[in-house]
Amino acid sequence: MPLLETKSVKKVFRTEEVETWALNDVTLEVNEGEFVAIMGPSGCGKSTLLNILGLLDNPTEGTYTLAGTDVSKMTEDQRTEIRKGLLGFVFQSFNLIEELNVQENIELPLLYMGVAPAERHKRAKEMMARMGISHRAGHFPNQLSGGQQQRVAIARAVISNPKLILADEPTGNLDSTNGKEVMSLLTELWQQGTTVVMVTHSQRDASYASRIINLYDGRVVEQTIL
Amino acid sequence: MKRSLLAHYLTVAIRSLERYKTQSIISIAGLAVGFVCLALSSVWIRYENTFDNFHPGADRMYMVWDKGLDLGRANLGTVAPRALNSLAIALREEWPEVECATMIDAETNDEKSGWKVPFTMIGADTAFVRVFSLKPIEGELATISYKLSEFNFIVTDEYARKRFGEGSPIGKAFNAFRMPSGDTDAITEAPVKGVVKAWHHSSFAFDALILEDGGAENSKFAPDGGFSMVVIRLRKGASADELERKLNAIDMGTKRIGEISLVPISQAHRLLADIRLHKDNLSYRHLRYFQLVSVLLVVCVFINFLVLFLIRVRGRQREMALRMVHGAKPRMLLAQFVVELSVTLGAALGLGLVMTFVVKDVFAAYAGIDLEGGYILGSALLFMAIIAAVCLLIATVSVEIVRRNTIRHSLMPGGGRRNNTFTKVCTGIQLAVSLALICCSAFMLKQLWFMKNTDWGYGIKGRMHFEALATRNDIVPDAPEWGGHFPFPPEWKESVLRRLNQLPYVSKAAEIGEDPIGLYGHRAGGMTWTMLPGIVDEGDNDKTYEYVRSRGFSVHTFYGFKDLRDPTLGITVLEGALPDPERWTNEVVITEKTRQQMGVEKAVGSDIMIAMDDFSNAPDGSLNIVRAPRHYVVAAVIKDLYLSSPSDEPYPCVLMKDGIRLGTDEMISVHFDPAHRADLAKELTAMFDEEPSLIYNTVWHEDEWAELMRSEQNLSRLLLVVSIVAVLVAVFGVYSIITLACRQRRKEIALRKIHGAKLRDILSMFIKEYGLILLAGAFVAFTVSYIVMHGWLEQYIKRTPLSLWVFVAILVATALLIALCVGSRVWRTARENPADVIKSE
Repeated sequence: MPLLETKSVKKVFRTEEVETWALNDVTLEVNEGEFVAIMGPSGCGKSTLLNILGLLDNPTEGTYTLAGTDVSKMTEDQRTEIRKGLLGFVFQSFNLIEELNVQENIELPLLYMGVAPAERHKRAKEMMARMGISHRAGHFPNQLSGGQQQRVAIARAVISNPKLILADEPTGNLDSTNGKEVMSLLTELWQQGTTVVMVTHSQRDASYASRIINLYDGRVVEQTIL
Repeated sequence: MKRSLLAHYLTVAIRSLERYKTQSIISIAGLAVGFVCLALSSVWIRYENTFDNFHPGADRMYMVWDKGLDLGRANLGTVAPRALNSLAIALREEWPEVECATMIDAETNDEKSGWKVPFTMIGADTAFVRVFSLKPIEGELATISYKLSEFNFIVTDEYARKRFGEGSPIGKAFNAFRMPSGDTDAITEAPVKGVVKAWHHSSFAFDALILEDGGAENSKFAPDGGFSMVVIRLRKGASADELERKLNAIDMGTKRIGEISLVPISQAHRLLADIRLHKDNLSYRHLRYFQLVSVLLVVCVFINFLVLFLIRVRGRQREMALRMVHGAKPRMLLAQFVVELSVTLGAALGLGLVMTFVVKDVFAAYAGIDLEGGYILGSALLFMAIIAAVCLLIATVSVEIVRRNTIRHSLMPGGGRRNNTFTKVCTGIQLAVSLALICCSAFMLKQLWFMKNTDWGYGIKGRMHFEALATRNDIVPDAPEWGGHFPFPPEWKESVLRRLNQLPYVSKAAEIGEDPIGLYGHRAGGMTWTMLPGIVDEGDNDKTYEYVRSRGFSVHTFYGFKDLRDPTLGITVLEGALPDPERWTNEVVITEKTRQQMGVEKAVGSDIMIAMDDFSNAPDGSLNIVRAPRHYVVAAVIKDLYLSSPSDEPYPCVLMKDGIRLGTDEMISVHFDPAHRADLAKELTAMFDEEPSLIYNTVWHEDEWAELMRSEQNLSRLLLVVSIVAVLVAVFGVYSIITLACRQRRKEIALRKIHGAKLRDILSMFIKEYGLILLAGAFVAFTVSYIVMHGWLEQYIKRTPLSLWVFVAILVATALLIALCVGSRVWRTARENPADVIKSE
């Protein structure tokens, strides 16, 4: 059984004057343990698809099944509940919370999962050690470099041991050295059994994946197994 | 909420306070001041409205007030709202609506009277026990028969401890000099027979009580015994309004003099204070105004706090979205903001509590509140907690509305176009509330200044008068001195006048007999009677009296003037001439209001009749009243005399040489240079010290006037403080909002500059925006202020105009302040290198 499966998913954005079809009849499957890269030109619907896959948005039409559950018509609360512990997110712009320090940012998913403080701190420390940012535990995001911020973001994404990591242009704001490090981390996680779905512009980053899905004008136009 | 989540929220909340330190301090301090003002004024108002509510059936208890006995608020002996005894007895015996009725007389044996342990004594008929559900805690509620030698007293437990120490007071000798229902100079020593629990927060609180058997024929409380304070308790279901209507509609014969009013017992203390011309530090009406202004202050500070908080919440949309991505549910986000709001409101509450703790004793003394400090603190805390809870609720709803945005929208880079309308509306509201506060305070201060500098019919500045009274030293054992009304020694008086008139700063010192301004407070010298223009002779005194009574109007008459022409009085003549003291017989001087009531253009030379009574004490002690209508001729019309309060309509007055006069008529009036008041006071003290056997009462007219305006003065002071806080909060709030707006619009400013905008273009754009907000806020504020102040000024007889220049001045000052804020902030932002801004944004 695939980990996630979309059938004829459509997403339309309407304004008073214009109706934009961001996704048009997208059908795809991602199995457990896959590393999938979604590519395509700007405006082709990559981020929209990732938001739907990450339960940050609902499709206008079609069905979306995640871990065997149809999640396409769920409420915000239900989606939040499903996300907990199942999904981890990595964003291009890191999206760390400015008011929280490194350790608190990493602990955030555990906090909302109700993990006891001692266990939370222990796991956060292990994760920081793994990412090589232990010395920055008490620092706030604006005191970190871009690479460090993205490592914190990845640490936060994986601390709850999610089955699926959704990464939106994870190296987009990084230089090549830091970008390479981030891709190595994601590959390491994939090799340990975590499913990764990544949106990227970069052919080099996509080369880390096991499958590439190409989108054009909101449709899947090509799938390549590497 | 889980403890770890709460700890997390608290950490974020405290960091947020630290991050916006100055804003937080202003919000917390401003809210604390608002909370304290509102809570204390509410405690005070609640206290004012809950007098005597501890008596069983208090909601059915009323004081019966015969307004005809009020005698223009300035009659000697009228120190309480009273009704005729005959009415009280009729109510008790003939009116089925009335469950019980009691007659009360009270007297204070104070320190001035020489008592080392002053006390208030009440004399009442035995129905007092039933009306007030009085029960002894020791001994019995013994009664006396009027004028019998075998007196006995009931005392309260608290007074017994003060007077007799610990142990039972039963059987111990108790003495009193001023007896409520006996001769005023009798010394009575009798045993204590009963002890009752002391009353607090009561208009009828007493230390000692005499319960008189009303059955005695010559009783003070017998039907012909005159008048008393009358308190009734209605039966359940009976309507006070209906009873009042009936009492005023039917012919009550000799049981009623004027209109009858039933005053709820909880309001009786205000009526008592009013009739005794007791001026509170803040009148009840002004207290309500202050409460309203406190609400406005809380609203002003709260809006400031909320606006800044909401702007920050909007700025944290991305954080909210991220939290949701990582597992937070909407209610958790709300909980987080509620905790952040609660921390600020809680800090304000805590600071408010500390402030209340510091000022509670001063407040209690200022407000005349007879409550424990702990009770005040507890009540204030309760009120503050309620206000804070309301604020929290409003803030929570507002935050929830702002928070409702999609996660996706917030997470998109640059997503979510900022809409400044919300911020602008809030800034406008904040400005409107602040401007309204400033405006109201400005007009209140203007009115006060106006009243201080207005002609009130007689001299105030540089005027004073005094009287001297002889003393006796043999009154009671524990009352070493007591001042009685005895003649002024003539030789001393002449010497004093001579010496005063020799002083370079004294224009004139003269014996005037009476002085209108001396009528304030308890030392009153007039009576209210009915006056009718023309000469009336119906054959006998009773018929003439009735004729005048039935057709005339009430006037307040002052007696005992020796020379109204004396400049020390400062009276302004409008028509005719003041009587020559050498040939002054039945001529009277009337005020404008009296002439107006007479309905004539020219009153000089007019005959008038006044229906007076002559009072005397019968040998058995009862009051003897003889009807005595008198004929007078108007010699002059003078300006109205404003005698009781600036907010009271001037009463029609008649000034005459002779009449009913109770007192010494021995006043000396001095007209002096106000700059030398201290010198005059020193000189008088030296003169008084030379004659230590006399007791002196000095009245400085400016002080008396200030006393009359005490409430206005205090209200103005409080408003000034509140306004300063409001101005500080508003200025800082606007500055903070502009700072945030500049931060949010950095990119816009940079882009405008790149495309050719100059610094002055950007400045003018912001100034125009905030100028419009100011104009909108000012329009609302000035309209509301005008309506509120128009209503407020209605209470005054002479009013300052609601001048346009005040509004303009406030608007200009605020505009300058805002221009300064906008200018300094925008200047700083607009001078940044646009390339750097674009890069960093």
